[in-house]
Amino acid sequence: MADYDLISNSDYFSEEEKEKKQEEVPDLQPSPQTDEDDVFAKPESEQPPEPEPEIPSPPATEADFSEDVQRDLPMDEVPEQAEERVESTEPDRADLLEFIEEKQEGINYRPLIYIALVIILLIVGYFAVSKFLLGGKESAEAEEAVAEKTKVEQPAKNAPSPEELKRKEFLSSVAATVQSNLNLLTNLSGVAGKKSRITSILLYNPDFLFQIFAPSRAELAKVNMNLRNQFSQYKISLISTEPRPGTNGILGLFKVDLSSAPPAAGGQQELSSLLETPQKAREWIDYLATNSGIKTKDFRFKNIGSKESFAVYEISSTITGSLSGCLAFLESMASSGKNVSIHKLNLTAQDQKTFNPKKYQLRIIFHLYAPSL
Amino acid sequence: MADIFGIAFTENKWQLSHIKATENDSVLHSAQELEYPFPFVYDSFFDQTNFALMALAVKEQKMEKGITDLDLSFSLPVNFAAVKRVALPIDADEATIKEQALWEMSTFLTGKLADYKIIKTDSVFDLGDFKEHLFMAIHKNIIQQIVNLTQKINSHLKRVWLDFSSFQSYLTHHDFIRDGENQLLVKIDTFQIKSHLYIQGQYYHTYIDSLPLNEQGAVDGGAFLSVLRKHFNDSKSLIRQLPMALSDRLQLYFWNSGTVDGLSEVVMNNFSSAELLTATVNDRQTNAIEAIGLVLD
Repeated sequence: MADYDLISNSDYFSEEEKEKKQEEVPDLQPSPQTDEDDVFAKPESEQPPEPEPEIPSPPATEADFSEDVQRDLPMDEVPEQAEERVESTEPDRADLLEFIEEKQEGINYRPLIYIALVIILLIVGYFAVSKFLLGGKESAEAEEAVAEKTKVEQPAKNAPSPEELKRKEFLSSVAATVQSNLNLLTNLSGVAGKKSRITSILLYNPDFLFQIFAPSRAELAKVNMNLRNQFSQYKISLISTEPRPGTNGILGLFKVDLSSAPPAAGGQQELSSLLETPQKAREWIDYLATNSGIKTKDFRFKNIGSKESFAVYEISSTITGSLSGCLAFLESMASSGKNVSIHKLNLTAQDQKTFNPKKYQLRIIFHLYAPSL
Repeated sequence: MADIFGIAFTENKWQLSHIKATENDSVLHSAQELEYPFPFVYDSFFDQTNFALMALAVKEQKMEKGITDLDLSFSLPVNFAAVKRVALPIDADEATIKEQALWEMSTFLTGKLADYKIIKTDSVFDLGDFKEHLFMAIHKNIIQQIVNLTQKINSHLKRVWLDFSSFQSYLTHHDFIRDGENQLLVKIDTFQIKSHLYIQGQYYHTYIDSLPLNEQGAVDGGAFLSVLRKHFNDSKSLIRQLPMALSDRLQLYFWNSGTVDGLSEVVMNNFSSAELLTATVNDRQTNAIEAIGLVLD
């Protein structure tokens, strides 16, 4: 007969074992006292708010300005030069007028001459003005053409190296996996129907487990059939069932074989702007949570090394709110295309008696691949 | 060698079995059912006031029987604990088992995980690709109350089991549990029916149902029978699906510790192989099956 003694058997999760585990895992960065490896070491209600370590802000990266800064000649210089040109012709005009008056007798050609001269001067002045203006524009256009040519030549000179391509492909692949897994998670949440309820989800690659509470075995069987009909391309199996003590309800535990999941977007996803630091990641998480109507309760991080020339941070966060809010949060995360991978995700009903859909908790541990500073 | 009290709790009465230590041996001396010193309610059973009264009642029995050196064993209704099977791949290492169990228990239990003592039993079910490890969790406050009671009456705490363990001990001792066979033990109590399923000699799980009542407040025999049939059929279906079950034969045992007459006849008349558990200790008929099973080694 198996040993079921509640006294002689020791607590499976004794404090001594927890402390031993804490000692074995070295912290690479100064962090709060609680064991950051074990997200479930203490329930969150007991955890005091921990002061977040100051994150040194990275040197501001300025946007790359184009080298082809266009320079336009100041417009006000040209009219002055045109005016100078007009003024300089005036003394010549006076001499001409006097010479014409001395030679002719009887016929007064003076007005005609005046008019002709004015016309000539205007024409000359027009050409003089246009020469300076158009000449500036042409030179500007010529410089612009040169600049564009330079610009076109520069990308060719700065083509990504094989290492950079590899890093980009790595991040795209990571983002695609996140999208695939989270999309599956959010889609599965709808399979429970009205009478049953999804009570917990664990995503811990390659394991994907979810538990459903059904009011009866018949309802659980319906959920099972829905899974087979709607998710036939995945290998999903009901691995255990057990009655809920004190009720006629039943809990069903399902497992999804993630290796059977089709990759999203051919295994690559287009990336959006990268999260450069854990602080940026925090701002992103808070933003997604606020938009989804849920609340971030805590946020911790530590450096765990490097990969593909990225600095890798392990970030854990606890978020509480409604089930629909948590799922909306995960949907947003799925399509965000950020430089993060999900290490572990646990979505559970906080009220294990009634599984109130307004009280769910999402614990997520993800890895941030930050560009090395 | 100390005398042993086996104390079990039903919804109607508490049970006391007495193993008397002699010079060379120890024998089952008596087994009886006694009235509670307070109204039985699950939610308030381990309140300090109630359990202090329980301690006095046990102390009175100790003094009445003239015992000086006493070991106490307790059998608790399964309602006071949480029993969960954790399914894991067959090649899971201990670290993976612990992590999965931590997750499952933290999501399964109400309240804080640190308030529970969680035990990994030796019971493992082989399901082909998976193994199910049986875990039990009991609130530390309950353990403390039991320890306090033991100390109050100057005794030693020998064991604390859940009721399905006590019944399994009784069935094993009397050779009701045989290799390759499966049993469904139905405990009919005052408010609830508990059906403990044992597969291939190992405890699997417990169905708990409220005793069905009709509009007049009396037990609905038809509904009661429906509940039993459902659990019996579900159990047989479950056994057929388990790869490690050698036989799908299911033997029904039942025991009535409640106050409602006639239910035993309902079972006997509708289940051909049903067997009512009874006990005789020192030529005295007793219903304290659970307390007896608790102290049998």
